[in-house]
Amino acid sequence: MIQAAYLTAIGMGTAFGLLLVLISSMVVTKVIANRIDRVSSPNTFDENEENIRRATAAAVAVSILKAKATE
Amino acid sequence: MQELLDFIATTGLANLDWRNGIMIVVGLVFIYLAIRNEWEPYELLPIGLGIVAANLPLTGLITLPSQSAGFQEAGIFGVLFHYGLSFWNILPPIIFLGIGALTDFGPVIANPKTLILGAAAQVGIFIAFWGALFAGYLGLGFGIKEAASIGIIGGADGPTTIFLSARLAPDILGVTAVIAYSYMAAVAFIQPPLMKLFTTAKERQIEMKPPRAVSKLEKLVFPNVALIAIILIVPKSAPLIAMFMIGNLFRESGVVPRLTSAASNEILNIATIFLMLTVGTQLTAERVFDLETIVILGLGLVAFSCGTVGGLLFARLMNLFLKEKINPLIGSAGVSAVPMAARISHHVGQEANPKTFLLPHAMGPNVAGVIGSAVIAGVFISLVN
Repeated sequence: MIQAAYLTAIGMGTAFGLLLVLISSMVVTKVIANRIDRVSSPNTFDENEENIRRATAAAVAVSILKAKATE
Repeated sequence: MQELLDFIATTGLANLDWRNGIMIVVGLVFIYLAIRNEWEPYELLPIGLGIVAANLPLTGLITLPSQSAGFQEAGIFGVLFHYGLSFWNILPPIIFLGIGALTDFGPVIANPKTLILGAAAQVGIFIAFWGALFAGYLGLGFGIKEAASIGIIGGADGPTTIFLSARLAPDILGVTAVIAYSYMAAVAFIQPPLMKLFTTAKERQIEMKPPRAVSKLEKLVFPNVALIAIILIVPKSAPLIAMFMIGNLFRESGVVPRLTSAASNEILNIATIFLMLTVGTQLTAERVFDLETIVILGLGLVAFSCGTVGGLLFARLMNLFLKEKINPLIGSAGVSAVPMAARISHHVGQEANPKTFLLPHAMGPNVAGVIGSAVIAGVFISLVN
């Protein structure tokens, strides 16, 4: 009976413990994967074009606002 | 005339026992259910054929090499049982290689907390384990090895049940394996009433967001980490876990499509044929017509039901602490029985709320259940053997 009690405790404890370890590893891997993706994946041609258009639009908007403010 | 009488005496018909006759009918029922109702046909059809073949008298099909005068006398199923299961025990790990090659860990990685449900659903294993010990205390022939083999039925994982029984209690291997596969085939009948009984209508209607996309790096890292972490802690689970993760790495690497295809098709199919036929041939009349078998049948049902309820209740418990609630129906998928249990969670969820789509979420506990039951089998072998 004592052996059975130990088996139950160790069996359930190991199953829960190992799955918690795996959950932790998944969280860590997710963080690392996100960082690697951010560093390693250069922008595509379309993304670069979009960024240039946004920067130009922002510059135009700022210059218009500045001109209005000085009037 | 004497020759004719001698010939008649050597026929199977003259040596057919009524119990063999009943077992042949049972085998035919399995074959019928597999073909007519498509109940787990890949398991029940070869098992049914094995039962019929093994219960025909005087065939010697299941004579073990050790029982025969020489290897020439051993029956084909005796040889398959000896080398495939009891002596080398290689068929269950080979099946795990194929299952690994078919498994997508994406849903688990996308929602890691569902892994815990796979552990919670293993509670059925220990309830049946204690039930078997109690039955042994009352006078049935169950020691701690038999109790462990009976308990693992609650993991609802056929190869794991066979792997453990072959190691600890080969005498009840056929019975435990067939009961495990029979209950796996019957999840559609066993689980839904329990799912409705242990959850509220409101809980069953909970909608869950679709899982996030998982990167290839995450899918590659997970089987490696699982392989190393699990085997370092429970080395006796290595035959199952190592093969499972190797098969999965074949798949996720994307560079060995022929190996992935071979593992998930040809190798898995060949191993399934030999494993299921051999399991069926273990169900001989002498083994089945026994009070112990009936008790194992009952304890298997208790194990399976308690595993289902354990997963459901733990999911409800998790909801007390989670901001984003999970549908507790995915908890019942923690009993393994891949992928049927996950499908049942999905169907019962859709009955309650047609907008819910639980299948990808239920695959998390479902896959975790496979890992959890293999880990517990490893613990049993480590401490009991």
